[in-house]
Amino acid sequence: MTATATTTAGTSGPGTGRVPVRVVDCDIHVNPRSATEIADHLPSEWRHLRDLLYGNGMLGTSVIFAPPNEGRRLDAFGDDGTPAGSDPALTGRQLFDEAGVDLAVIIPLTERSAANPEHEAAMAAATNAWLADTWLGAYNGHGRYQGTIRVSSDPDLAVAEIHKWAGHPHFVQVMLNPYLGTPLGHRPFWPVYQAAVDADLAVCTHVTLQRPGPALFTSSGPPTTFLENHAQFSVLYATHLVSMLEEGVFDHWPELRFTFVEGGYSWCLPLLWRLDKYWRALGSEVPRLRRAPSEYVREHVSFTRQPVEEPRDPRHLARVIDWLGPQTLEFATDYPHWDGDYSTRIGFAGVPADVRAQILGGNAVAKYRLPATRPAAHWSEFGTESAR
Amino acid sequence: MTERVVCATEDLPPGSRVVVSVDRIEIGVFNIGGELVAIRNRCPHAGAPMCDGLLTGTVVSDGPQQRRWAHDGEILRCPWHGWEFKLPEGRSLVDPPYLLSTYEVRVLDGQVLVDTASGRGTRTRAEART
Repeated sequence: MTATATTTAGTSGPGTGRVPVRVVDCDIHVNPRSATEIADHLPSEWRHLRDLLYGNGMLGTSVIFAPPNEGRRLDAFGDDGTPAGSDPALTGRQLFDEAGVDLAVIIPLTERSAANPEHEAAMAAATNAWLADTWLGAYNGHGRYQGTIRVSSDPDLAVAEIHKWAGHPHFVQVMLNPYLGTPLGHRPFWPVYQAAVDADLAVCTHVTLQRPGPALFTSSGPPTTFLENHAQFSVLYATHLVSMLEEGVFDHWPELRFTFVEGGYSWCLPLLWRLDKYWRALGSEVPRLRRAPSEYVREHVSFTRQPVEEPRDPRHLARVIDWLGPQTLEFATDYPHWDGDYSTRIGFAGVPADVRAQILGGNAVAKYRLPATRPAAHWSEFGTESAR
Repeated sequence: MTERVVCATEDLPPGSRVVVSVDRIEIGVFNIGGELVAIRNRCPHAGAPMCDGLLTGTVVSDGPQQRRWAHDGEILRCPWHGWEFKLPEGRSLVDPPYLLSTYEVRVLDGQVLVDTASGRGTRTRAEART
């Protein structure tokens, strides 16, 4: 089980054999080892603010962000205190060896919510450049890491950032911040979808560290606890999904692939029952929709499974998967976060083997256009630059 | 007899813990203010290595808008999902059917001994739910 990140200098190097990709982890979060590592990618006009965002404190973050263990699994921190998810050797061991992941899609959260969209764009650009240099570059000799392009909440700035990275061999999707104050189906975001489709990139949204204020609001007002906030990620996503459906986003781009990351999925089914019912009665209000809303979801939308829902009888999940459609679900660990799913075995009680394989890897390979195989040689043989 | 020597008592001062592997099962022994507690190094929720968790306290409520710090040094908090188990009995505070596997432990001739056949408590998520 123990693996080291030493290179195989003096030997013939890793072999060229390949094995099938069975497990794709659609949500991991890697970090810089130090504030400097990423802040050095910020342009000089924004660098003076780096301590605010990349310093040791959590300035700009509400105390409502109160998960256990600093929000990370404790065994993911380096023995010398290096941040969780910053050491390619420890990450490789826990993700590839212990959790059994073949390929992992990185969603970097080092771009943090900022009031100023230009500041946000600078952080997004720094994050993407850093990721391309490190986890998608120097640490990725084995090609098992794929990346997500972070963009500003300002659509024009977002499109420019997408154009910058289009064609990169390891960026496979674009992430939109869900705390926009505007539902994601609205017209200002359409150029972002166009740019993603043009570059053959998937699009996702993922909850982010939130600043106090409107970003924390639910549709009925502000929550008071992290539990209240965390459990309602689903509600946040539901409002975006309904907006995208009824504004016709998926009708306009038959190629668009969209993922809701870390907000659950069981909630979607009764929502679709209601949407389909009212679409039959109120279809003339949305004449562009030619099919039932649930059909668009099953063709265009997926949900990452983590944090897996845990009904008292785990077999109930199998029924939800069957109802919603197995093509809408993807496996994720959320490594190295505190609420991760670090086993490929949980949550599959009563799920047929072919459906399980689809959820663990098949769906993601198709959606992100990933290779169906990966190198057979151990990840540590690829000269992964050690953390030290 | 299924007792195994874990360590010398001097290697397990109050506030410390030792993890050993016996027949491929990891058992951790904690010294909580002089009291020894032995648990299996596995969370009954999702299998996390419990002995990497923090020994801390928790917040309890005696009534509306009341909260106080309690069980200081007796709460073992899972290193992954943060579930809280109260030692020495190892029971989950919020969902009592969840129980850490605990073992009998004693001191003999300056050695800490664990009875590896004495494991009791929840071993899997399924068992907690029946």
